[in-house]
Amino acid sequence: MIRWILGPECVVRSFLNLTEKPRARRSSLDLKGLRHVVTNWRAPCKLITLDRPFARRSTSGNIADHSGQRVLEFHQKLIPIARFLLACMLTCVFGSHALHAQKLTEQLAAENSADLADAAREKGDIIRGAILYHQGNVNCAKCHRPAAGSSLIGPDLKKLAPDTTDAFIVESILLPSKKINEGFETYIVATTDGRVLQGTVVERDPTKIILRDGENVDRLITLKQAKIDEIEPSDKSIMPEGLVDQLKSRQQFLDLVRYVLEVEVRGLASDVMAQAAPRRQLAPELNGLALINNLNCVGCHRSELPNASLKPKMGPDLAWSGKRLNPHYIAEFIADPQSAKPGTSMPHLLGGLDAQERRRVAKSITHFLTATREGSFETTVPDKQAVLRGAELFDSVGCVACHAPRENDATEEPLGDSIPLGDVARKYDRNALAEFLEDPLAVRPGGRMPNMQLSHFEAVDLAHFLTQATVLTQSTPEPWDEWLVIEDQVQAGRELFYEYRCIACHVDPSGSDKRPLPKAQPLHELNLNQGCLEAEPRGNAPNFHLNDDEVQAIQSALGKNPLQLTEQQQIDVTLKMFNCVACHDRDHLGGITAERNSHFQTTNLNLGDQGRIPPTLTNVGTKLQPEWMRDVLVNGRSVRPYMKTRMPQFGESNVGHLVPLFQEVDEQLQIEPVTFDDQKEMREFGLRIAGNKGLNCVACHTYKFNSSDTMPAVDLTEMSQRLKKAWFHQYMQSPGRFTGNTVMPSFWPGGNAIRPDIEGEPAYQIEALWQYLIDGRQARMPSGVVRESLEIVVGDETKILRRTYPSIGKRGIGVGYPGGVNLAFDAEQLRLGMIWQGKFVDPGGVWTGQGSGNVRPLGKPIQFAPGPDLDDANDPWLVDDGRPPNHRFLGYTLDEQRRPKFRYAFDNIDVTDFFTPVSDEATDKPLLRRSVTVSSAKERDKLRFRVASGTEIVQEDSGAFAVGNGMHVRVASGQTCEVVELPEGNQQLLIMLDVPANREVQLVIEYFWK
Amino acid sequence: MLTLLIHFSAIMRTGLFLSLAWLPQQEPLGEYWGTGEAEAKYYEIVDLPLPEELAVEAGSFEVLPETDQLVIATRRGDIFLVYGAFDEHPQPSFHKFASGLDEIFGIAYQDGSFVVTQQTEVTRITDLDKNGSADRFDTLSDVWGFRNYHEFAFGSKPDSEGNIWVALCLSESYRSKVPFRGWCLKVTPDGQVLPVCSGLRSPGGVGPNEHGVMFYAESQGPWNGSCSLKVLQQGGFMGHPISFNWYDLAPELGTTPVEPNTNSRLEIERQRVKELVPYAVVFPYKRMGRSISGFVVDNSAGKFGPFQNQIFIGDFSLGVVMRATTEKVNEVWQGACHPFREGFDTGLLALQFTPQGDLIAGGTNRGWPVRGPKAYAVQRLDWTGLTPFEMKTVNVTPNGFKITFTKAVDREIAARPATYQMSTFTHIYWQGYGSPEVDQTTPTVTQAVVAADGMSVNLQIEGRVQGHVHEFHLPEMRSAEGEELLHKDAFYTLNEIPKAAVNP
Repeated sequence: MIRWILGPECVVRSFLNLTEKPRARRSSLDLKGLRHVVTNWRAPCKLITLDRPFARRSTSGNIADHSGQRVLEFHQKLIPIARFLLACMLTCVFGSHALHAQKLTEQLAAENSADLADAAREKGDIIRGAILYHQGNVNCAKCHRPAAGSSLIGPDLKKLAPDTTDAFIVESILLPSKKINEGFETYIVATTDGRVLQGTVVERDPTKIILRDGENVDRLITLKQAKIDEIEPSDKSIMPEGLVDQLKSRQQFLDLVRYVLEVEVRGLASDVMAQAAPRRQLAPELNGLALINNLNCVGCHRSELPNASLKPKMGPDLAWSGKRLNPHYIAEFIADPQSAKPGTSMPHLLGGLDAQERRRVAKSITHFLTATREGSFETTVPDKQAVLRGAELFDSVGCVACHAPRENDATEEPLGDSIPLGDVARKYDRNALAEFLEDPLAVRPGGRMPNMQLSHFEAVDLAHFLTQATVLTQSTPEPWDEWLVIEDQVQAGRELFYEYRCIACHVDPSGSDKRPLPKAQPLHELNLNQGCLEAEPRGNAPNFHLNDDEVQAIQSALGKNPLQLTEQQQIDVTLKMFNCVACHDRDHLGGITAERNSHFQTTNLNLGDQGRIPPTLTNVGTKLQPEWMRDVLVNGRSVRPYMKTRMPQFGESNVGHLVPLFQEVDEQLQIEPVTFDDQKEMREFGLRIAGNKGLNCVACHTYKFNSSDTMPAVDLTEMSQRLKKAWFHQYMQSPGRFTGNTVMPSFWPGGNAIRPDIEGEPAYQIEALWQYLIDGRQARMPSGVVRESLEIVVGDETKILRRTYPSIGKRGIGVGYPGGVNLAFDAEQLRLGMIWQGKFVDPGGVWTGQGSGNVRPLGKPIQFAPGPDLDDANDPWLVDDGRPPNHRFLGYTLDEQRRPKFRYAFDNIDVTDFFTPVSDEATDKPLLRRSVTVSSAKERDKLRFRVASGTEIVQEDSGAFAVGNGMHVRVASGQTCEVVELPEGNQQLLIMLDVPANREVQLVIEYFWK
Repeated sequence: MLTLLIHFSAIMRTGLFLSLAWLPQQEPLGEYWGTGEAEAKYYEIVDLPLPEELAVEAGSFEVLPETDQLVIATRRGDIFLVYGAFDEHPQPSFHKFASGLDEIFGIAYQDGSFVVTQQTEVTRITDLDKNGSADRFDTLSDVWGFRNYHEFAFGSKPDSEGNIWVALCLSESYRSKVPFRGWCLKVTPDGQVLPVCSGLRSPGGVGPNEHGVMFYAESQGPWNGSCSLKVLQQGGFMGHPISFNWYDLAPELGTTPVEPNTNSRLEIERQRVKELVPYAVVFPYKRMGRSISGFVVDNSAGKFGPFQNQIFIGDFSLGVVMRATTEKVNEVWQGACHPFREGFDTGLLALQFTPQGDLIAGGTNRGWPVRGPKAYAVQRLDWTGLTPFEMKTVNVTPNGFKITFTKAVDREIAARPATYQMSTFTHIYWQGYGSPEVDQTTPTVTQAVVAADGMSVNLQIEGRVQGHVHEFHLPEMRSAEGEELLHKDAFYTLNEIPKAAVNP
């Protein structure tokens, strides 16, 4: 597009610049006004333009390089801006045809549709097609799914008109608007209030029209006929144009078409989808019980809770708070909690006092709490980068699941149902907040504020972000240091701490005081319209500022005494108490809300919603092994690296009881056992199915930390550790039934195999996969895994790797020299083992798995025969499987260019062997110069040094020798060489040596290519 | 080196031995102790962030105290000098000191050089020009045969005479095809080699016990019913007879020992085979690791909490650290092991104390099944300063055992014999892979005498069994302040019963 003027990098840079302050821009840009322009421009090309420059492969072959990830991340935030900019560019500058990335559509549209269809049937990979059909960025399945009546968005591909040709299908995918199927025509509607809408008509009667919004096909808009100014047919399909440009290649298009063409016979790979249902509400008494727990009513009232595993929420550890929080804030908070922190669950306990007395009591208690105060207020200006990183964390790790979202300057964007944070910047100093965020359970063991698995530095960043207001809004921070603890107030404060029943929820920070807390009436004996439940509690009755719903919920819970909870209800109440339902749904209870949806983010859009929305807890006890569930809940285990929202840790004592409850409540599936003869064969079969010649699990799933080329779906080698076998069987048969938003296709929709050529019934194939997966991390690598390609790259410095090389035993030493000449020395037989040109080595064979393989030279090596290079001329060691008995490797030294000089001994003779690659002056080709020194304290004659070996060694006119495979050798130091026959028809090139006492003999040998 | 987690017994018995590429089905790795969250209160795991571009598959550690540097030597053959690893919130920087070596499982700083045990040899590595990168590699010894990748070599830190003790894994972990596979050799500073003992199978670490005597960690497998710590006794036989064929190369060790009978008991065979050294501390399989590995003694003088002078040992499969103590009774080493800390991110291969008294632990999960989720990791275990209520040591007495605690016990509970649930078992000593626990017995605690300070309890016991592992399970025990034990189990391997007072 605009690259013709600026080049793509400029466009990229402009986006990168934008990301630095995306939020600031968002608020300063009047997007509402611009939205109209943008909405008329269809989405697809946005991804391409962004993806293209970034989705380049890194050297390791992995697509998930940093820049790529970053682009995907900020892309989500930037959609409105990106859309606008692109739309402007498109309309103003070139128009859509100039789009570089639209070339795939164009290129394919230029081909004959019937030929493309034929090619698809012949060369398309149906499994890959099924994946593309569901993949997040293409997502045909979103609209073309089995549905009835008004919920049908696009035509049911299984029920196309009988006369539909293959060519028509190809054309419709490429150019959706060319011919629109009956019933899916779109209309443009202008309303009397000035809106212009576009979409398909779902329902129409004399009073109203229900329009499916072309912008958001999940949205139905009901328009009163009276409000409609004008309605006219549009020639644009509701199916986005340019969808094909989401594909990477013609082959992917063929894969997709092949799948679509066969949908009619084989059925959709997502034949059953989980049905959306209305949200379930907890019965009032259960809500009430959750409240009773979270407000710790039993702290004062003499009552037992119906279930011991449901722990009431204790207040924060005030020993910590008193040491670390702003004393002024504490005093104000105690005096009037709701004013200091609207929405807090801390009750107002001093309602019976007048304002002055209230302040006095609050101050006195504060003196008591802060008696051991440490540290002072952090006054340094927050780090800008830390603030930005903190903003990003706040927005993505899950803070916004419970708290209101915040602008980059940390001002709140009010959102209902949010748990208030109050004036964080006033309450905490930055270091205290970081300490709290790093391990919230240490201060608040109740676990309602869970541990978000932040690293220390992440906690610091978040603290910078949340406390920035202190510096931004106040020229001087509040004088914490001026809070002087008055000693005689401390003891008085302690008395008040007991008098006003702070002790009901908090531990005495000055240490245990065994004085009993007089308990109030049991809950079930209470008058439910009095005391705390009154609209304005009188006297010093705690005032929780409950709303009517909350009062009714509590009344309802207390009215049903004794309240007996079923196990399912215990789960529900727990999920409510810890707000698990902010992220997860279980049987339609909870789940993320529309307002918070955009804060759930992914690193890989291909996974669709499944890549960013936390998994459902419906039937989670059917699905997961209890050990795994415990690992997730208690030990912070996670298998979804692509999901930015983290699974928080609530503390074992708070939520550990969920593990057995889920196991107890959820159905334990029974499946027909699949019989097979040979487990080993079955596992082999499973391995084949998992590979790209079979059902191609590895097209999406990670295998042992190796991400696939499409998306980093859950690691195959962790499946059997996580899942129950029966669930696996059922899930595989029909993934959509379990996870409505899954990208995972069904391979046997309606019982018809997408790959009928693979033997066995579905259950048999699934069992084979299970038998394969059960090996866990030791499961062998299926074909098609994009393996991290390992190469030791030689830059300016020589590289060495000791290990097994082909034809050399375990004591090989590979050396890669700058300039592309490499060798491997045999440190056991003391010989030059091989030489090759080009790249150095792939160490994968020895650096992966147990390391049972070889180092693989990345060139064609010229290998020399076994046996030591220096030996007795008359009585050389007869080469066998052992070691030459009189040779000893002594090590090596590196010169300033890190080139090794090998040292070894033969009997009492010392040898050094040093190689330098140089460029052959005559031919300008690489030449390897080998300098050998041989010395001995005692004279030694009749030695021989082997220069080379080969099947046929021929002396050339120049005096050099051709030793085969294009390799030539000459002895530059002048010694004469002779070719000696070996028994097996091989030849070797030898220099005969006599070594005088204490006088070094030097050999210079040059290996070169012509 | 590492336990090949495979049931080979049937195969071995039928003589049907398949290639190693064939990997039989896994058994589950083993339950968590379930104490991780409670342990975290006392010992906190701190991540050492590793540079993304480096695969730091730690195989061995060393510390340079003068410069406060951690040295990490890796399976991929690199030696890194790490700055900042001991900071409270580490953000370390890495400098590559040497590379291109082969599976380093032993590194020590000695007289200005590193002495490194790699698979092929013991090497002295020096930076002659002091530019921060190694430039001289002297082979101290490579006398042992090396033909199979599984022939791992584990080297100790230098002993008081400067010798490196090298424990050599069997060929393919089942045979001894080339010289000294299954032996321990001592390599002197001038490169001389002194054979120490035969009978090793698959070592996972070598080092001194808390009394300075050289031990090694052995993995479960043939002739080893479970993992154990064993003393590397001069002239001894460590239990696996396949390495007997190299006695000709070690004339100073005398004649080849008598072959042990298979399908027997170690306690019986040690009467027949005089060189057979009883396994000092047996780690019950799965409950106490599956592939014990590198170990170190806490010499931090209390900086790491109440377990001074105890052995800390990692486990590769389960990513846990355990404790062990040893004592010599009737000239035979034996001792106890205790759970300590679970929840490391990867399979642990090596441990190292920092000058600050924190414990570095690291490794990989490459090649064998491992519970931790990361391909490799280096983490640090910091004592938080709080003392857990634990069984600190278990020692044998002429009439029973003495258990010492880290805090005073509740005297009433501690004085009840029923508080101490005891049982014993042993393993089959055979050529099959691993062994079930057999010959279970239940000793009786007849009396529990609480010491005056409440810190220890002397148990009078009837029915101890020589040669058995004695399990202590104390679910009811409480400290004087009412705390439960953080870990309720301990395991003592009773090779010998003292006649009189125990000599340390």
